Amino acid sequence: MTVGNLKPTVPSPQKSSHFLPQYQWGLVIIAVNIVLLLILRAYCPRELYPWAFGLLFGFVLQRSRFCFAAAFRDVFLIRNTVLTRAVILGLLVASLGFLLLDFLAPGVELISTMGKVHPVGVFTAIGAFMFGVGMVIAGGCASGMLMRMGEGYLMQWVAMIGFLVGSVFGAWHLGWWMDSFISEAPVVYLPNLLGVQGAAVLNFGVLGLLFILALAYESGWKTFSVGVRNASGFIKANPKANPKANPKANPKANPAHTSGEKAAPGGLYRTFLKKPWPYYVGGVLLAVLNVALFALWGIPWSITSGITYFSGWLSSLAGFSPQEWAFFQEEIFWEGHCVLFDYYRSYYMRFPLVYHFMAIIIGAFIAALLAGEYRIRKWRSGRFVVSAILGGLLMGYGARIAL
Amino acid sequence: MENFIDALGEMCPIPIIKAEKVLKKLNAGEKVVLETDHSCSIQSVTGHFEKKHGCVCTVTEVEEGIWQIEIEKI
Repeated sequence: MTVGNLKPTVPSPQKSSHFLPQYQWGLVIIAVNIVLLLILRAYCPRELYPWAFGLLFGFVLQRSRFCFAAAFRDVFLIRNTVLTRAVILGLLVASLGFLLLDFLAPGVELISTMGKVHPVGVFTAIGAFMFGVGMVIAGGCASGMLMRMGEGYLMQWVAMIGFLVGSVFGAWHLGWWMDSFISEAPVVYLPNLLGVQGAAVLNFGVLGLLFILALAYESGWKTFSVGVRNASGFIKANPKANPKANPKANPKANPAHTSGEKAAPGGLYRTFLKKPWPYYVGGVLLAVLNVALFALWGIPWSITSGITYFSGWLSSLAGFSPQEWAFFQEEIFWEGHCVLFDYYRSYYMRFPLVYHFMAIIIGAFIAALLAGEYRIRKWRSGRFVVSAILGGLLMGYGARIAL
Repeated sequence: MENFIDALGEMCPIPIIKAEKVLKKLNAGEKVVLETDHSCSIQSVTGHFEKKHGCVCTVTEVEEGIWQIEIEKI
C-alpha cells in the first residue's frame, strides 16, 4: 500500500554538498550573535534581554519540538495528551517561579504592574477561539510559527504574513472592542481576590487536576483506574502491558537517527543537539526561562505584541496611520534608549519585543543547523498556503482582541 | 518497501492520522514506512505509536531534514 505520490528517498552517501556542514554554519551564527549581544550590552541595554532570551526560547522550542498548538489539538484529533501534560507541567513550574519571586520581594507589586493583568470578558473567549482555530490550520501557534520559520518551513513564513495582516486589523479594531466590551470588563487578579496563598492553592489545584484529567483521558478511564490501582499495589501485572512498547525494555526499539550524525561529533552532540529533547524538558526549560526573563527584565515571555508593533511599523510604511489606533496609545516600559539606532528607528521599532520575536526565529535556526536538519521545506499543495494565511489572520486578530 | 506513506510537506498531525489508517489494516509484524520533512514528527510520531499503540519505531534521517520512520505493528 502506498499513500502519496512520491517514491521513498534513497539515502545518498554524499550527505552534504555545501562547502561548510550545517553545524559549522550554526557555530558561525552563534559567534555572530555573541558579538551582537556584546554590542547590545554596551549600547542598547534595553534590547539585550529580549534578544538573548529570544535566542534561548527559539533554541529550546526547536530542540524539544515544543508545540502549544499540538498540546490543545492532539487531545481531540488523536487522543494524545503528552504535550498537554508538558504544557501543564511548564505552567506549574512557572507558577512556582513567580510565587518564589513574590516571596523574595514581598510587598512589591511585581506581577500586577507588569502590564499583563488585563480585563477579562467575552472578547477574551472570542479572541482565544479565533487563535485556537488559527493555530491548528496554520500548523503552529505564535511560538511554533516562529520556530518553524527558523527551521525553514515556507508554510509558516506565509502564516506570518497572515499574522501580520491579522495584527493590523486587530490593532485597528481594538478601539471598537474597547468601547463595546473591554472598558466595562472587570480586571480579575486572583491574588487580590483570594490573597497570594489562596490564589496559589487554586492555581496549583486546577493545574494538578487538569494534569490528572489529561492522563486519564488519554489512557481511557478503565485503563487509567487499573493503572492507579497498579501504582498503589493492588494488582501486580497489567495484562495490556507490552514489553516491546517500552523503549527502555527493548534496546532495539528506538535506535533513532541511525545515519545523519556520521559527519559530526558523537556522544554529547547526539544527546543534546541531534536527538529531540523530551517534551517535559522543553516545558520546564521554557518556564524557567520565562521566570528568569521576568526577574531580570521585568517583562515575561511575550510574542504577539512584538509582532503587532512590527506590523504597525509596516503599515506606517505603507501609508496608514497606526498612531491613531487604540493599540498604539499605550506607552509601557519605554524608558532607556539605544544610542546606535534610536535616531533612525520609528516609534514602533523602538518596542523591544520586536527584537524578541525575531530572535526566536534565529534561535530555532541555530538549533536546526546544529542538528544538521535545516531545510527549506515547501508546502505540499496550495491548500496549505490558504490554510496558513487564514490561520495567521485568525491568530493575529484573535491575539489582539483577547488582550 | 510494501507500505510507504509519503507525507513530505504535510504538517502534524496529518502524518500520524495517515499512518494510523494504514496500520489499522496491517497484521502484527508488518511494517509501514513514513517519510516526512516535519521535524516534530520524529518525536510526535514515534512517541504516539510506541506509547499508545505499542509499535516499534525506527527513525532514519535519509537526507538533511528528511526522515523515514519505520513503524512495526506488534
